Amino acid sequence: MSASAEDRGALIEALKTWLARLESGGSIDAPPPLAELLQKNEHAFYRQVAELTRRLHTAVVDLRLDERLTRIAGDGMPDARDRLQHVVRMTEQAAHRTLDLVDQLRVDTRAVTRGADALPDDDPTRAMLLHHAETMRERLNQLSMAQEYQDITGQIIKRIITLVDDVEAALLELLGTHASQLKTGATMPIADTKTGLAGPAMPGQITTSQQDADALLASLGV
Amino acid sequence: MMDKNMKILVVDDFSTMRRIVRNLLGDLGYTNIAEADDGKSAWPMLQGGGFDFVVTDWNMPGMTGIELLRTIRGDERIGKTPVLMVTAEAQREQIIEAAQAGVNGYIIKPFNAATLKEKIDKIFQRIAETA
Repeated sequence: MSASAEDRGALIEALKTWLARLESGGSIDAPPPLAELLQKNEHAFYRQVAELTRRLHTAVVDLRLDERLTRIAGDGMPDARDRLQHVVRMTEQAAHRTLDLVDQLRVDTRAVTRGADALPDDDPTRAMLLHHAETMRERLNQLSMAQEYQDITGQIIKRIITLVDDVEAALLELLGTHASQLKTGATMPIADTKTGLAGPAMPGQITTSQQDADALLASLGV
Repeated sequence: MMDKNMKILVVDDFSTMRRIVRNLLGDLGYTNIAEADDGKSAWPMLQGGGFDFVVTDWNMPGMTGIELLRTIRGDERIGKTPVLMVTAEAQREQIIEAAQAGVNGYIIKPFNAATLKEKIDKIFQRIAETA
């Protein structure tokens, strides 16, 4: 591959011209200057570059015409996003419903405690009721705490929604002119949604436990 | 030791989590609690004054918890307000970043009531020691 600087410049120019013509929908054959250059140089390298350029273009054209991709970008992606958002909403509603019931049961538990307190000190029922009320209070706390799953799973699902959005935007961009015919309308630029944060820990991921975090913070004087 | 009437701001974009933290704090005896759904809405509330303690998530739209922490630390009036971060971010780098930004405590989600109590106790014990 020892093309002279002059050959190199001429080749680059010829390839640029060819690419521009291919992109504007012109003939797929190599333009005369490039054909000449290819004839002049027996070098297999040039032929390979030319062949790769042609194949790349053909591949892009094939992709653009792929109706499946159009369907995925137009319907599949928005549908996936809607379903995921629906899951987040449903778990949120379920968690709030549970927390509502926890709140109501806390009121009931306090009523039991007040009732028990009104009994004589030596009444064995008093101690029993107070004990049960305390156990219930503790379990209600645990029940409330267990609703934490909604935040964690919600965060994970929201990250996937962002990914779906990115793939959709990339597909619409790739589909180019066809995008105008899609239900979702105009192409969107790929949003820079990366926060640089890892998000909730996933199974198999190496993360820090609360104990590790405590040790690390202590070493930093917190 | 700790003033159960102290005014606490709970900042999280998930309403479920705000409610859980509020419930836990309530069970610990703290009832003077306000909520904000991200740093952007928390900041004017904090500037309004009167908050003794901030419990914040990290990853939120608008203004994140770490940005809120830095904004608080950069403010002359409320710069010393203790901040407890409660977040699913469990990477070493994040914990170091929070420590360097001046966080007073760091809890990794999922967490439990005992951890929350322990961290709050520790934060105010330290403040009492250095006061």
